[in-house]
Order: sequence, then structure tokens, then C-alpha cells
Amino acid sequence: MIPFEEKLQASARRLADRDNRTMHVPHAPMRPRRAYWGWVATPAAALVGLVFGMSLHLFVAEEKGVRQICSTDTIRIVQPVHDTLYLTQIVERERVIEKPVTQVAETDAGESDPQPEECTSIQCDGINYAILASN
Amino acid sequence: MTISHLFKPLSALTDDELMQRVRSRDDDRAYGELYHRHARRLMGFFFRQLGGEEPLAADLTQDAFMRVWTARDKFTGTNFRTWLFALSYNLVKNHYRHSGHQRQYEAFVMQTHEAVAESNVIDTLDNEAFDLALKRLLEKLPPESRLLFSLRFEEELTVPQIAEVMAIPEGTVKSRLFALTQSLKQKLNHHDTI
Repeated sequence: MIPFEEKLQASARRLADRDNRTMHVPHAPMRPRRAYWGWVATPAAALVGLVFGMSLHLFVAEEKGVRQICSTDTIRIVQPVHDTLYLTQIVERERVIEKPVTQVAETDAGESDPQPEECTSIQCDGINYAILASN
Repeated sequence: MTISHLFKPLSALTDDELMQRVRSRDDDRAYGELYHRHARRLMGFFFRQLGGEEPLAADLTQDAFMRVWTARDKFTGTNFRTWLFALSYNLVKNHYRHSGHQRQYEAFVMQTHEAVAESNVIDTLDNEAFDLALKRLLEKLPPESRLLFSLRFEEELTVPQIAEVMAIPEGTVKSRLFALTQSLKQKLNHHDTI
């Protein structure tokens, strides 16, 4: 390079550097991103992590309980039991067999062998004793 | 890209290696490093081409780097700086075209041509004076010549690189550079003897 060109270049560099130093350079521009597998993989991994974390938490809680029991002398298990209580209401219905009036009248008139079931209507404490008598 | 490149600090990588990372992996940090290295200088380039409008220079700097990002797949891996200046050169040309800058500038140059010729009265023999004289001359240069000067003497690109940036043959670059240098030499002849 001939001397004048060297001088020109040096001067040009000085001028350019002077300008460049005073510049307020903006931030790098925002860049649109390409779609890539990470967009799907990241939320999926987060979800898997969450589920795993929750199950691990439950597992550890159980483990912790067992260990506590082993380290103590007296094991007091308080187990609330919720039984289902059935309230049964016994409804008794008194069975009364009434002999028809006409039949009784016939028997009284001369029938020698009356049927046992016809003559019993004994009930006490809910038991029909007439059945026992017939057998 | 070798494995050793993956573990090198970004500051130790060349521009081309950084750009390869941006291209192949959308590497944000590599892009940031490139921006850090070149943004100020590029903004200065725009600033000088566009008549000293700093906000416009800042916009074009961002625009140029946005193009670097969007066109990263087109980077062939030869020379990042040449590629960046090719993008920037096109941006400046587009700006001239859209703003009518070229016509305004030509009219301005026609009016002030004689004044420029007569302005070579600075006889001070130091760098400051030479710089001042050169600056005044550069302000009056037509845009195409100003761009050529900037690429060659400020950004220090080689003739083949300038040919690539301006998309013209190397011979044309050489002849234009010769004419430009002679013209400047003539106008700065007082300082040539220093």
C-alpha cells in the first residue's frame, strides 16, 4: 500500500473509532424461535416430574410412619372405626285367627272331633302356640 | 464442529465458528457474542453512510442483525464479516432508494462541488487537521463512493471481499478505488507531503 493510502486508512480508522465510541448501541433484537421438540418435551417433563414428586411424597410419608413405630416401645394404634349402624325396627304384627261364628256354632251342635287348628288362636309374646299344638 | 469447540469459551471462537453455532443450534449466546463484537462498529458504519442520524443507524443495526438471524441458514461459512457487510450494504442501498437520499445527495454535491474544491486550504501538518479535512471531504462524497471508502478504509475489507459485498467484479472495485483515492489525494494534496 502506498504511503498516502496508509495515511488515509489511519485517518479513516481514527474518525470511525471516534464516531463508534459515542454510539449508544441498542440491545440485540428479539428473535423469533423455530418450533422444536423442546416445546413439547419441556412441559411433558414438568408434568412427569410433578406426578413423580407427588407420588414420592406420599411414599416417603408412609415410610416415615413405619419408622416412627419401629423406634417406639409402646405402639398405640388409634384406629377410628366407622361401623355402619343398621337400626332395625321390628314391627310385630299380631296374627289373630278368628274362628268364624257359623263354624263354632256347628261344632257346638254335635260335631265330635273338632280340628285342632280350628280351636286355637293362642298367641303370646308373638309366638303362635297354635302351630305347636297342631304338630 | 469438533468436540473441543463445544468446550471453548465463546470469546475464544472465531466469528465463523460462532455463526456456525447460531446456524446449527440456534445458539443464543453465540449470537449475543457476535452482536457484542460487531454491533458498535456496524452502527458506526450506518451512522456515517446516513448523514449522522444515530436513531436511524441504531434501527438499521438491529435490522441487519435481525437479518443475520433470519438468514442464518444461508450462511455458507466463508467469512461472517463479509456476509454481515453484504447484508448491511443492501440495507443502506434500500434506504437510499426509499428515502430519495441519492437524488438529494447528488443535488447537494452538484451545488457544493466548487466549495469542496476550494476547501483545501488547511495547511496544518498534523493528524487532527488531516482527519478534519478528510471528514469534510467524506461528507461531500456521493453515497456509492462513501460506501466504497467505508468498506475499504474504515472496515478494512479486502478487494475480493468488497467485490462480494457490492456484488461487482474485483476489477471494477479496483478501478473505483483507484479513482476515489486519486480524487481524495488531489483534494488533500497539502497533507500528502507529511
